[in-house]
Formats: sequence, structure tokens, C-alpha cells
Amino acid sequence: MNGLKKMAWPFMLITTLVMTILFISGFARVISITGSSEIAGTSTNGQGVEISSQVDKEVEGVSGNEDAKNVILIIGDSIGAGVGDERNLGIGGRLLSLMTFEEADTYEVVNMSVPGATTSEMKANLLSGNFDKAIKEAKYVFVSIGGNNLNRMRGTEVSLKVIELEERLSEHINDLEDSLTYLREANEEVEIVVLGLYNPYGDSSETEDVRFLHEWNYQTRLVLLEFDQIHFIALYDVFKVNLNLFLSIDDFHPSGEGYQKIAEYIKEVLVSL
Amino acid sequence: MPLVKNEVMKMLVSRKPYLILVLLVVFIGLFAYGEQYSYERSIERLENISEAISFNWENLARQQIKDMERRMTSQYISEEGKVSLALEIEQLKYFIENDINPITPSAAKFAGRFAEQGILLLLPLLVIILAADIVSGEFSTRSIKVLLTRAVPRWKILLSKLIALFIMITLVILLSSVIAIFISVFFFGRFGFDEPVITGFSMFSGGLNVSNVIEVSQLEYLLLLYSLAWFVCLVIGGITFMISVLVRSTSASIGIIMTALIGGQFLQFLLSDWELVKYFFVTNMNLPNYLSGDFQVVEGMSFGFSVSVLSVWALLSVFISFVVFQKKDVLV
Repeated sequence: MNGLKKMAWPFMLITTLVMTILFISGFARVISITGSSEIAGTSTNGQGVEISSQVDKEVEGVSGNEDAKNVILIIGDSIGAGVGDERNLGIGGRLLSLMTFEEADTYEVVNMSVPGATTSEMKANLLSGNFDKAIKEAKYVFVSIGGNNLNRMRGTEVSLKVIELEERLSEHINDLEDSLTYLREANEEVEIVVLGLYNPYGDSSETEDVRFLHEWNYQTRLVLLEFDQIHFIALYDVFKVNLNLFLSIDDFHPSGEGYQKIAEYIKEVLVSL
Repeated sequence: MPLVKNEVMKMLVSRKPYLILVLLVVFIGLFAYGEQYSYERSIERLENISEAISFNWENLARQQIKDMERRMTSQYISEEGKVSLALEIEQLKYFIENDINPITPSAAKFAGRFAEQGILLLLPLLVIILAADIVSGEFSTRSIKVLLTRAVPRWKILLSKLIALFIMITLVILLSSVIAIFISVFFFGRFGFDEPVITGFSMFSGGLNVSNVIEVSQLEYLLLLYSLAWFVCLVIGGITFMISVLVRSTSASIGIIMTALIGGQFLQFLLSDWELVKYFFVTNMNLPNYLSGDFQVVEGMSFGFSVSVLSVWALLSVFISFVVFQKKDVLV
């Protein structure tokens, strides 16, 4: 027992020393990981500009050589981008699949959606002027936006929700109005389709949240009143009935069936299509 | 040095290290069992949903990869976004290649989670067990008289206690990681040290900054987590040390630091609008959040900020302890 105790002391000292060095090195690594990102964060602005100018060139390339086609421009969030579609068609691709081959050949889908985008991000994207060329040539613009604004509210304290909704909604409305005004000014002919929000949470959502969703859609529709040649797609009702079928495995984005249904709905609304 | 040795031996002879050991084993055993249980439950649920005999995670993972690859080809996603997508794809591919379900628990994952959760309360509590009576205990048992009448300057006595505490904290952190790994490997059957982990997310002005995302192995990530836990425990040790010097009764010192810890957790949720909360040490203890990129309770906090706040608290506490202990009248 005494010998053991004598052994214990140098053993403990050495372990402590080794672990201290190890922990300090680990700690330094964390500092380097988190610290450098702060510096990188400030430089992202410069990078962002670079990318968008690249986007501009890309768009020029796309629309430059194929002049006769009707452009369908899709802007907004992940639903615009087609996230969740097993066949990666998205709204645009599904819409074309509803037409005959000859018909479909006269259309071209340009998708500028950014998964995760909020209304203010979409507005910033539009106002940056990088999409101007695509907008001018577009015959239709599909806008899917707002879901991320509303969804980020989940987890907010119940009593604060009403206030938070008001703030977010008024922000959304202002940004949407600005975006649509910009679209309209850039292209007076274009037909705009705005997708309403559906409820991906189904029966598990609280009444309060559903009411918020309706309020959101309602206020969005009111914004559309100020514009001509604009349509609202009431996805809430469409998705309510067959939610399981229309949602993808992530239980949030539409499935292929869901996108198909959206495309059918849009085709019904757009008589000229 | 003999003084330090003496202090460490005093701690070893007391029952506290064994108490800590037992606590660790009991808690980690319970957590590991719970983890295993909830894993089995969630697999069951997934099987029920997909009506399959065995849950096919591989298809799901492949679908996710395809989805992400498609998103990568879009020109409208920023370069940083692509980097993080590429890493996520790589991570999923690793799981598919090695035929490991990404949600299968492993010892490394468990030990990591244990550090993430324990850093807020459990590990600090263990430190408190060690540190709360380190000075005040001498008053309670009146052995302070013997200690101070020896021909050693007071600051040396205090310093030796501080170093002893440092040694014990380091050992406790090492012990908790070792116990967490070995008990959980008993439950889950595999270590999983070389599984990839994605880290380096950071929050800035409400958005997630993914420009600096990197991939590390589970083992390295564990080391990072336990380094953070070690740092936090040292800070808590320092603060407890000060309280132990200031207060004469051990129970009072335990009460004070516990109240600060638990009350602080409430505080950061109730008063997250209040600027001052940022400077309270408890608010800054959740360092692993900066690694995983979770939301911060109070806005405008960064890793550097939290570490500085914690360091200032610790250094100030130690400084105060020495000043007070030098001047204190000892009437026993």
C-alpha cells in the first residue's frame, strides 16, 4: 500500500503534465478553428460579389444563344429550387413534363432559387441587378418565398410569438413589395406567380401556428392586389388533403408528387401557358 | 512541491475522489443505457413508418447525397456553401462506404455528447466537490491553525492548494473521458474514433457562416471538446477556490457556487435581452456551442469573447483569493 502511494504521486504528476499539454493544444486548435472563421466572415462580402458577377455571365451565356425560347424564371427558396423532388425536376421541370414535347421545347427554365433564402435575401439578390438580364427575357416568374422567414420563428417563446410574427410579417411584406415592384419595373409584360405557404407539420401543429400561417398567406395576397398579371397559388389547401403523399422524406419539402401537384395547379392558373 | 504533494494526498485520502468516481460511473452508465434505449426506440419507429422489416438508412443517405450534389451544381449557391456541402457529402459517403448508419451511437460520439452536456452542470459540480472545502474545510476542522503556524509563507500554502486543485481537475477530466468511452463501448460495442465530424460553423449577424467549415476525426473532435471542458472546469475551480477562501463554512461555499451555477442558467434564458448577462461566467460556459455552430443565447457573443470573460473571472478570483488570504485574520 505504501509503495503504491509512492508510485501514485509521480504517476499523477506526469499524467497531469501530459494532459495539460494535450488540453492546451486542443484548446489552441479550437481557437484557430473558431477564430479564423471570424476573420473569414468579414471577407465573405468580397467573395459574394465575385460569385454574382459569375452568375451574370452564366445567365448571359444561357439566354444569349437560344433566342426564341420563352423563359420561365424561378426565384426564391428551396421549394423554388426543387429540394425534395426525387427526380430533381422541381416546379419548372414538372411543368414542362405536363406539356407535349414540341410545346415544352419552346420553354426554358432558369432557376435562381437559393435554398434557405428569406424574403430579404431574395430582395437583396434581385436588387443587386445580377438577374436583370434574365428578368427582362422572362415570360413567367415563379416566386416561392417566405417559408424560411416564418419557419425561423419556431422555438420562440409563446408569449412573444405574436410580436415576433408582426415584426417578421411586416418585414416580409415590405421586402416582397419591393421585390415585386422591381420585377414589374424591369419587365412590364412578365406574368408573376407567387406560391403561398403550406403547412408541413400537419396535424401536429398548434392552432396558433396555423393561424399565423393563414395570416401570413392572407397578408401576402393583399400585397399582390397592387400588381397586375400576378397570381397566388394557395398551396395550403392543396397540401392539407394529401400531406403524406406530397411531402418528401424530410417531412418538410414537397415530394415529387408534391411538385407535380404544384405544377398542375400553376398550369391551370396560367391560361396562356 | 512537497506542499503540493501533501495537498494532493490530503484530497486522495479524503473520500471525495472515490465519490467522484462513483458519481461518474453511475451517471455515465445511466446515460449510456438511456442512449442505447432511445436509439433502439427510434429505429423501431423508423421501421414502423417505412413499413420495412429493417430500417434502410442507406437509401436515405444516398438520396441526401444526390440532393446535395445537385445543389452543388447550382451556380446560385455561394462558394462557402459549396465547401460545406462537399464536406457533408464526404461525411455521408464515409458512412455508406463503411456501412455504418450515421445515427448509430458509438463510444466516441457518446463521450463527445457527454462533454457537451456535462460542461454546463455535471463537470462543474464535480469540480465543486473538489474545490469547495479546499480552504474553508481547514477552518471547519480547525486544522488551519496547524497549517499557518508552520514556517511557510501564507501565499505558498495557498499556491500549493491551487496547484493541487489544478492537478485534480485535470485528472477528473481525463477520468471522465476515459470512463465515458469505456462504459459506452460496453453498451454500443464500437469506438468509432475515425468517423468524420464537421465543425467550424460560426454564427454571425443572425446567419450561419460556413466559410470555415472543416472536417476532423471523432477522436480529434473529442480532444477539442474535452479541452474546452477542462478550461471551463479550471475557471469554475478558480471561482470556487475564491469562495472557499472568502467563506468559512464549507456548506456555505457549496451553496453559493451552486446557486450561481444554477441561477445563472435561469438568468441567461430569462434575461437574454439584458446586456450585462453576457459578462456573467455561467452564460459563457457553453463553449462547445461555438464548435457546432448552435445559436447563442445572448446575441453578439463569440468564442474569443467567452474565453476572455471566463479567463478574467478565473484570474480575478485567484487574485482576490491571494489578497484576502494574505490579510485575513485567523481566529480559531
